[in-house]
Amino acid sequence: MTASKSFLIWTSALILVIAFGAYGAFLRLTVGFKVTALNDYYPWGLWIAYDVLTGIALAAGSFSLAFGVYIINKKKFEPLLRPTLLTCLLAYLTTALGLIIDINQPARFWHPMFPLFFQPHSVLFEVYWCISLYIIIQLIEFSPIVAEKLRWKWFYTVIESEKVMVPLVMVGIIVPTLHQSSLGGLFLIAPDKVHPLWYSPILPILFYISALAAAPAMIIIESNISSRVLNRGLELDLLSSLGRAMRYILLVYVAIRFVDLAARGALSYIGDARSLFFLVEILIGFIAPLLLLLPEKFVKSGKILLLASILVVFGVIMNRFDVLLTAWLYPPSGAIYFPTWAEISVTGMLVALEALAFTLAVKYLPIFPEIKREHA
Amino acid sequence: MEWKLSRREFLKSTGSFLVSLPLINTFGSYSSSNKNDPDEMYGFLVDVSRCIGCGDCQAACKIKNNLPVSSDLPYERNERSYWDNYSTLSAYTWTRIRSKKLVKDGKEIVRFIKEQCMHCIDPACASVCFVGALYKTPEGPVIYRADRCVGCRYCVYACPWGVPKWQYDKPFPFIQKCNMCYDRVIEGKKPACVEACKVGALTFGKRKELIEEAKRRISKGGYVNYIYGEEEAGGTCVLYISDVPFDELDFRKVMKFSYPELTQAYLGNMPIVIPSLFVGLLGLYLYSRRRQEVKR
Repeated sequence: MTASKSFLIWTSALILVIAFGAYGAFLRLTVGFKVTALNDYYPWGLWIAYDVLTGIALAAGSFSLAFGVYIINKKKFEPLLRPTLLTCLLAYLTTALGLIIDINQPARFWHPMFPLFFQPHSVLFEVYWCISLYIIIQLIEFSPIVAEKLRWKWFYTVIESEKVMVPLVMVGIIVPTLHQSSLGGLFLIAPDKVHPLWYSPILPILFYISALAAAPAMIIIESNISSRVLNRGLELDLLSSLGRAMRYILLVYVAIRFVDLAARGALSYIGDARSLFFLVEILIGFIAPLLLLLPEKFVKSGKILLLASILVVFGVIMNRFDVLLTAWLYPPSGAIYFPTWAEISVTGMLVALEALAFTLAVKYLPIFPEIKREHA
Repeated sequence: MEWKLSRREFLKSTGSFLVSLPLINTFGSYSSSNKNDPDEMYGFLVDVSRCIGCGDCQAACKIKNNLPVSSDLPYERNERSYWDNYSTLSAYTWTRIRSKKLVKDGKEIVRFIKEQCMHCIDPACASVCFVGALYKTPEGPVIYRADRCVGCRYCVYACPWGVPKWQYDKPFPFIQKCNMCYDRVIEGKKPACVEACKVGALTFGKRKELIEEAKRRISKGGYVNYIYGEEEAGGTCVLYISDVPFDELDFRKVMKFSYPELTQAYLGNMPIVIPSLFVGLLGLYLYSRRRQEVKR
């Protein structure tokens, strides 16, 4: 394992981005929120839209894949499990770090865990608890990989045995199901401040289904990247199966979204300034990939699968930004939010941290099956 | 089959989980309003027709709560009209008088509207606060317990009137808002702003009495037949009456039900959703296992 030139360039570039973001976070913690564009009209900005809403939505791959492999017994997906587990765990950890920088009192991040402060009538209470729990579950699910590296055979045979893994996976599906939908539930409290094109009583369901659509999309994109960078083959037949799953999820999502819009009479809002965002989101982010995936021969093409996946990820990212920021009707017309460089740098740091941790994990841990040594 | 035992265990654990769900509510709640009659809550009535916009209530509030007089935050600087000395509520201005020019009976007139927390009977801000920092007291005021606050700013997002503000000029801000001078109210005194009002535009009392008083004034004539706050957001402890329509005074149109109901309708599904997910997953697992066994 000699450090190649490209590896050195890649990691040092990431470290530069991280250092820059760390400076942004330092300013946030010393100078204060003056370095951000957040204010009374925009209590939540880029950090919530990207680090939390998007970060969690794009990390739905782990529990979706675990459902396929452990619950409905589609063992063929097993080779995809470890890299997906890793990316999702990293996404959740960076979300937690991002939240600690975002909240007013970072040192009090544990307050919602303290029983005397419990207030379970808040959707955020559920989100907080589920995300914390799920990080622990993911750490346990991930632990056999570390144990394998350390050659603690007894450890991973215990954890990976069906008796431990199946109940763990069941909890590990229910918990993210709850918080993926509850992230949409956060917005239910503001019916007159969120634009009708996005506000809906079924926002939790829409958030959940769109996260499910992002799951295969992220796995397909990550497989493409890792196959190129690590010179591994592309598991095209597996990815095609994922593409088929994605097709049906998108179909359900688009159908529910339009039925909901029509039932609430919100389609009449198409034409106002904000509806441009809505049209781009729904047409490019959801309907275009659905059409791309409909013909069976397209699903078998790696390039079209990748394109459709990129569109879906774009759609989900845009959807989360739209629900939080585009749809936000409360500020007076003059007050427009655009993140400052400090906010962008912190988000960049979180993404770079994920990328760096992934790079190092792939290098030193048995993430991809080919690199697996014993115990295959 | 070994799974028979675990199935029983599973049912047992689901059962005990279900039984323990109501227990979680005993840990904490955002409000004691379910135990207390809204009629008995304290609040005050703002009579827009009587207000002369002197600003004594603003000054009294600043003095009582030790708030800086000149502390403009970036968004406070715009759109300041002749009579407004603060253009929005902020972390450092918990109440303010805003002015509105309008035409009544062909004459140009000005009306002054006092803004502050509405002290909802079932407050959205307190319902979303996951550590119970914002809290609806049985006496009526919605108070802020700063020692609990994590600073998620969900209250700022949730309030239909945009009342909770935060110190976004600081590194470790707190939420700030009117607390109806809770310390004075429990001592049996009026809030500072009410006490400062010399023209009788503010009347302090129990919500039921205030509504009676408002109806009495409306019936004597000269008022619009509407009490703003009687039904807004499920009812508020601060009530307004006016001689010009509330629409023309730019009062926010909010829903006429309590906002927390929206999230409770969603969260209330959890005791059904969680066990159903368990049962569904277990069923799918056993089914696919059985199918594989049959295949073999």
